[in-house]
Amino acid sequence: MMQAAPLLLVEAVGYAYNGAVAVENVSLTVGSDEVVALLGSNGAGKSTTVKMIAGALRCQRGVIRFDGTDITRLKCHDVVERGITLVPEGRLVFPRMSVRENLELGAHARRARPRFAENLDRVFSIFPRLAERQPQLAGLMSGGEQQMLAIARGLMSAPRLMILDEPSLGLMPSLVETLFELIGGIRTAGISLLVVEQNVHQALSIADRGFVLEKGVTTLSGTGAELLHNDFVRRAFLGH
Amino acid sequence: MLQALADGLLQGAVLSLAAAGFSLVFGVMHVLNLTHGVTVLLGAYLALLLWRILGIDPLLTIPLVAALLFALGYAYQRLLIQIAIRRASLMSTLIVTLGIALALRNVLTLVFSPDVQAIRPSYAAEHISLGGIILDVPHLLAFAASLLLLGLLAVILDRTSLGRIIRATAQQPLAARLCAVDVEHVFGLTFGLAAAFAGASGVIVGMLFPFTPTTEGYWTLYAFVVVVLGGAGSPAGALLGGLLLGVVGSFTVRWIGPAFPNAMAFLVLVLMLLIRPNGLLGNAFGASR
Amino acid sequence: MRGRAIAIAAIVAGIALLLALPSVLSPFQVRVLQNLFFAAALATAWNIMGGFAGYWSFGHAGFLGVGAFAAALLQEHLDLGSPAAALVAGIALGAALAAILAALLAYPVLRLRGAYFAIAMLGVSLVLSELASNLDILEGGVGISLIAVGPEWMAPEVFYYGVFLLLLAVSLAVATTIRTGKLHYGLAAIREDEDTAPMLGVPTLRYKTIVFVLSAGITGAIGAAYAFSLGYITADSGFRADVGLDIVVYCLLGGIGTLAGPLLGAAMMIFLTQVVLGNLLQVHLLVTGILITTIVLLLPNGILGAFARRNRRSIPAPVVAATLSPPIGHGDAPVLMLDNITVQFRGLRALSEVSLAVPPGKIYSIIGPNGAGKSTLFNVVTAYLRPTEGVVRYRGERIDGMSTLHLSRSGIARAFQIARPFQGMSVLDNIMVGALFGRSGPRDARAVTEAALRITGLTDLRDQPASSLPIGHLRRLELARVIAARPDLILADEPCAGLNATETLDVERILGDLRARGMTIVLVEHDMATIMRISDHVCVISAGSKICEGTPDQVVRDPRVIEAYLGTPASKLVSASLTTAVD
Repeated sequence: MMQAAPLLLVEAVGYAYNGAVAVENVSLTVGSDEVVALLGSNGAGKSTTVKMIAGALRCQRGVIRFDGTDITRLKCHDVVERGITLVPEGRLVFPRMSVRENLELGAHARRARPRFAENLDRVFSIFPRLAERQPQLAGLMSGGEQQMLAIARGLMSAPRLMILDEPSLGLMPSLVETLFELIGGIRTAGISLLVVEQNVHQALSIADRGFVLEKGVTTLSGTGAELLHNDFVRRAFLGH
Repeated sequence: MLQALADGLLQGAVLSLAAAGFSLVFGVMHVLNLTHGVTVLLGAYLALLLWRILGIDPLLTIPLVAALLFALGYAYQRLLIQIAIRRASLMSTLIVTLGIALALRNVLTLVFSPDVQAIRPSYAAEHISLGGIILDVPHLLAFAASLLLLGLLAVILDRTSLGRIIRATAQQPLAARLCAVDVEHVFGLTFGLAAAFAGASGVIVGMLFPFTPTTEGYWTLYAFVVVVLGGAGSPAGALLGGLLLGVVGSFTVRWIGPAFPNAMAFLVLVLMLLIRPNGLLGNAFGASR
Repeated sequence: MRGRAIAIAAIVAGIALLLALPSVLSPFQVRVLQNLFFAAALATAWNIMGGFAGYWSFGHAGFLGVGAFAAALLQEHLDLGSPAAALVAGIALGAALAAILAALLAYPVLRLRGAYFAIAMLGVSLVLSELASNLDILEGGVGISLIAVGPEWMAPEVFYYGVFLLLLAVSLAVATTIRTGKLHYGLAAIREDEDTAPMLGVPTLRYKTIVFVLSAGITGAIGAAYAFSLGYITADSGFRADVGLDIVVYCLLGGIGTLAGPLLGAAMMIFLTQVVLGNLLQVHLLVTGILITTIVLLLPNGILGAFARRNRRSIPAPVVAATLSPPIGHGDAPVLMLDNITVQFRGLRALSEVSLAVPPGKIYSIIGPNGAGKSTLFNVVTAYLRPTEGVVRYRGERIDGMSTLHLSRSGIARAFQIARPFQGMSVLDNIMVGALFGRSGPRDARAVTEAALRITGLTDLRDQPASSLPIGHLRRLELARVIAARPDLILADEPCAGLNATETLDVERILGDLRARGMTIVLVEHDMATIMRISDHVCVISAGSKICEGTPDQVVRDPRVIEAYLGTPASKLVSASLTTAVD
């Protein structure tokens, strides 16, 4: 399936918080123009892994390569400049700033500034609700709207790879469906996606491939269809 | 009584400016910078030097002093404070800033002698009379300068792109990083800005009050009281807190005695910490301690 | 026993040596040692609060000055006959006044944490210093003279050498006594995590006040002796602000929280400033400043802290087996009852009219999809959140709005999803806090701790620092700490979250074991299989309302539950798998 070198290559990374191991040995790949799901239960190490990819945490072991270059030691803001954007767990919008200002800040990266106008248009076409609410303070928006804003803000940085950390967390089930449709829309814009999710069904419904994390180690990988019918994953869905 | 009010307000504006930098650093970085008072005095001593050697009116030295202290503040943050923050212990930044404050206080004593100094420009003794209230000229000029500088800080924070990045970093540092903001650099700029305004306020302080290196502790404490009163992070909070403190001080002097404004300030501090530790306006960036 | 005898012999020999020393040293050297004892005594007294409880006061100079002025004013206005009486009375009064001041300050100032407390105390000492300069106690003069109190046949520096040595001994005695008792565990809990401590029954305000008053009192006594040793007191020399900060330096340098640390730090600093720098007051602050900056950055735990690994004595477990059953038996009445609970946040109705009753001695699980309101319900049940409407009753008594301390005393224990162990303490010590402040007496605490270790399978890990435990063990530690308090009711929030299959089974076994011992357990859980295996009753919450209640079998087959909990598209897939899992 994957002939060309992957866009993102994560090899045997590890991280421990103060001696407590959160990620032991995780490896995964994401290709160009691909959607990959990262699954696992609470505390399996998914968030820690993507924070290492994004540079928000300093990888203690292993290698991360993006588009052929070693980015393992890069700081967060440099990783964004290379083209990887993380939409963090919990959304983390700038609460006392307007929707518009949030989006403008999203375009702070040097790579994003020349394409500001066109990215803004694209964002508003994917999320028309945001266009209507430009002056609204982000902190006063509902969870679903904030999630859209967070994703939109991520898009403003003109990424080649976007990582979504638990986008459905805390959202009502009806919203989750809409959200994943929108995520599908991003995919068609030529951006690769790495989606971290506990909601296995939704994640696998849009993913080409997936990886399963358990206690800090990648234990399974396969195409979306393979994983959906895998016994282990079904047990993971139901709980251990 | 009106006299006391006027005196209080005039002095209060200076207190506000003198606290603005401390307030900014606390609001954005959650760091209680105990080196703040010494920075104020550094501004005063620099102005003293320029006045003695070159005869320049202190108010005109403000831009130079501010620029110099901006650079020092930026370096201080990147080289030392950043390390202390990474230690992630609540007290480590406190102790580091305290240590540097003590060391600098000693250096100032060695360089400038422990004698009390004051900058007395030609208009120092003049005063005007307004409807029965006597206002002296240096205080008036200081009042105006303080308000102007506070306004300048507010404009920087609200209208410039630097200000916007500082505000974003204060509200949500991780998200700022994920928007390609170099947060350490922004912290450095914030510290530099704070130091610049502290130094500017020092010039003004030098014109109004006699100073010696030992008074640096008081300027840090006053800044702390102002922040607790008015709220951290915004020039508006600093203005409110400073004016209140100034008025409380002048009324204390008038009705209780000239030796007690500090005791009263402390009492106010303790009361506020108990009732409303985040200050009347709260943290300007929405974060709570 | 031999070790004990050797230690006592060493101490006696040491004391004899110290007492004999002045006869062979020059007056200058005696004075240096006198200053050392002064510094060490102050540092030890400060450390009782700063090191043990984690409250760093930057204003102990205030207590020093209060003591100094108390002694000076007393002997100025009251003739007590002999100089010895003046000294003793001065010290006693100094200690008393400083202690009273601390007691008065305790309520307002001890509500502040960390840096705020430090700065507030700095403010106190500065204000006291100002008041001393300005109030009429000096009666127009600059200072107060004190009469000499030493015996004529003894050189003054030798006399005060003895006085300060005695005060150092007192200071050390108090510190050692605290260090080896229940108070120390409580203080350590406060230092590590002041929010969790009351949940385990630690009376935080009371303990903080105790060390605050003790620390202040000793400092006041030292201040009084100091005034006599100087012979003349002014506001500046009494309230030595630089000494106030020096004390912090001594403890930071030597090792905060240890017994020997303050002594080591004081010794090093006195040596540095008085012998090496020859009392160069001009650079005193510079040296102090650079020193504390460097120490905090390089050696945050001080010199002794870097070496000391709190290798807790691993005393073998006492033979008497302890019971972990709750002390109070219960009848059939529901242990916990929620009556029509509604929680309304601004614009969001998190819970609507939820009622439930938890029968005694059973495991009662609350389940529901993400965002259904389980956390809110848990917060109401644990009295962390006051409901907008409705009542929570524990054994018939209303508990909504009850204080944390009161709740734990009533026999309710809470285990949270995000484990918050006391990071700097060992597994054993963590559980000891639960045992000491729970419903067993201090005598049984160790036995109860061993029992808790056994039940949770942590016996081999008892000396490990909590910070190094992986999440599976952390959860078990959390449970162990909770059960060591011998509660009636345990409320656990997602105890199996993030655990793998084996670890989950471990937790389930522990919970079953506890139920067998008579405890009632309320669980909030997400994991269907766990619920099925261990629950006696299940209550399903969705979108803020209770939609179903009953035995696990009943609940899992209810179509409303399947739809709400598991999501429509996969429901067919899942319900089929569920039935296979159940059968």
